[in-house]
Amino acid sequence: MKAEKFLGNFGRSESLWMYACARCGECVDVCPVYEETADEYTAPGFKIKKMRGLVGRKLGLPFSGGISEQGIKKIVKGLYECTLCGRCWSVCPYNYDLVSLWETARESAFETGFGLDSHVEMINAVKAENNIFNRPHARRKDWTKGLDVPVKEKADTVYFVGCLMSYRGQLKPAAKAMATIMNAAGENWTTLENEVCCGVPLKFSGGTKDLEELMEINISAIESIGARKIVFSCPGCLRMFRQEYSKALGKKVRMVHGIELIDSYIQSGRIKLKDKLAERMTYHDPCELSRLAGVIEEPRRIFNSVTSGFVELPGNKFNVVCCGGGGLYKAVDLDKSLGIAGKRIGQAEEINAAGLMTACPSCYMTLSQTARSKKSNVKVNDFAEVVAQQIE
Amino acid sequence: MTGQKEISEKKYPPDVNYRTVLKGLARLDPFFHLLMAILLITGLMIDLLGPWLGGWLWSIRTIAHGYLGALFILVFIVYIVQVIYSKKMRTVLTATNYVDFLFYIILIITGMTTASANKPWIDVIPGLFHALSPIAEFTPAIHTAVTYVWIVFSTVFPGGILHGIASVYLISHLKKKSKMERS
Ligand code: HEM
Ligand code: SF4
Ligand code: SF4
Repeated sequence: MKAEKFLGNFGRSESLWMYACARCGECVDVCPVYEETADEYTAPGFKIKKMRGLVGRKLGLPFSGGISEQGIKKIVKGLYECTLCGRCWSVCPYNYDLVSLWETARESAFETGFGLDSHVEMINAVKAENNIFNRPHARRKDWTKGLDVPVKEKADTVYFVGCLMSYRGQLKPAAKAMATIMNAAGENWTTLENEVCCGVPLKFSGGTKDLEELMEINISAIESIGARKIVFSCPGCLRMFRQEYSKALGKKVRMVHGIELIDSYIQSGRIKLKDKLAERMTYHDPCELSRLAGVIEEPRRIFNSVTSGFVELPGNKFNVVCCGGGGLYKAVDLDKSLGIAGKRIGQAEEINAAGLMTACPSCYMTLSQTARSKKSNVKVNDFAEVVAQQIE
Repeated sequence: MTGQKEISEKKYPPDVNYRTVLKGLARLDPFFHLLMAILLITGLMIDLLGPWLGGWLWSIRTIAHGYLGALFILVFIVYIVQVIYSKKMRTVLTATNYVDFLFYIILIITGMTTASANKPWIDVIPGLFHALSPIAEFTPAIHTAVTYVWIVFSTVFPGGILHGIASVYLISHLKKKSKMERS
């Protein structure tokens, strides 16, 4: 029975964790999805409790409960109803890597046939066209039209654009803005001739079978360019590269988010900005960039040089409250995902922000969609567009 | 409302070691564990090593086990009230935890009469002396027996001592793993 195999990929650390977890419930109190759904199967500590029963049974421990396919389906549903925002990890007194736990459990769910249909479709799209939208691979570079975007054989820096920035009409201007800024700074940069999806959506879905093959395409392209730095617009791609690609690319290749690069340009005077705007602007920290990659001060330095009206949102920086769009959650429950985003837009309204900036294509899509449907006055912007408009 | 908890920045992917775990423990629960550990160790010392402790026996019973036991009652009340008003009551705790609470309550009641050292409570509430006197004859035996039952119970079922043992094992495993990955 496939149910017997579920969580079979748990190693010693995950299995021990099932018993070490102190049941303090800190994670339950902060999970944005649990707050939105009020379904205990989405509460992180509850998922651990349920998985412990299964692990206990595998280990032959007494009173561990049975394994029914129905029960597993409920656990798996809860595992996918999660934005992988890492808020649970941040409050866990043990500091145990819960994000990796959720990813490992999803991997097992997928492998044992409990994956979601929408994710299978997405993986098939990546296999066929190297992007999550099933759009022609040949059109990946359409965003560059009308711009001076280099494709060089050798360069210091590679700009890894990512699927969302490459294909989503609303986001293409943000990719263009990144290119404009790098050109203005005189960066010796290139895009990859044949960029393919970084693979992070596969990791999030649990369907990692084809991941290495996909990564290999990007790795060999980057190696042949001899780049020492890779720049990302998507914090998901960035984390994927730092965690997975760096094993192959080595420590010599620096991996930075565009916001870090632009901050360094401003600090070193490589780009000069016009006089500050007076617009009241705020910033939503992407979970993957602030909490999971530690990029927190750079955006603030940038925004304070762009506008004199920069204000902070509540629940920000390391303690940021997720926008609701991470971890492929939108594909699982769009209403709830946008419900979470609605709270974030509401917070921006409360502080009377005219602009809400972000540095993640997924946050951008979720927040802007919500702002539109709420007919909010808050305008969601990508940071790079705002900076590009301010270059002297 | 989520997002209200302010945690100071830490690095991801995280390290797990005794320092991080003790820091987390101190942030959430500095008294419960400490007192429980002291009571468990001193209780076992009194029972198993009593005849060999000589003059120490009196101070261990009175101060370490007695007065700290009296203090534990307060900590336990605060802890239980917090649990009842938290979401974790519904989501993370299991039957084992509730049975554990029952053990604590029995240990508290029998403890109050067992050690004359638990006088602080009797002093504050003199009525307790009369209320507890009918059972005072049996309580030392019950207190000791329940302690051993609790030890066995919470070593076998997840939640109690088993969580402590798993914690220690997990921390040393993760330390070894991260050392291997670094080299
Ligand atoms: C090396 C680390 C640890 C050890 C050795 C340890 C040991 C123990 C022991 C022996 C118990 C038994 C109590 C019982 O049977 O009810 C216990 C309970 C408990 N521990 Fe830990 N612990 C550790 C870490 C933590 C941490 C980091 C937390 C987080 C706050 C925690 C939270 C709890 C809680 C809430 C209980 C009460 C369980 C219940 O409700 O019954 N422990 N621990
Ligand atoms: S990663 Fe975020 S959404 Fe997922 S369980 Fe943890 S707190 Fe909840
Ligand atoms: S915060 Fe950590 S220790 Fe506490 S219940 Fe959640 S996972 Fe377990």
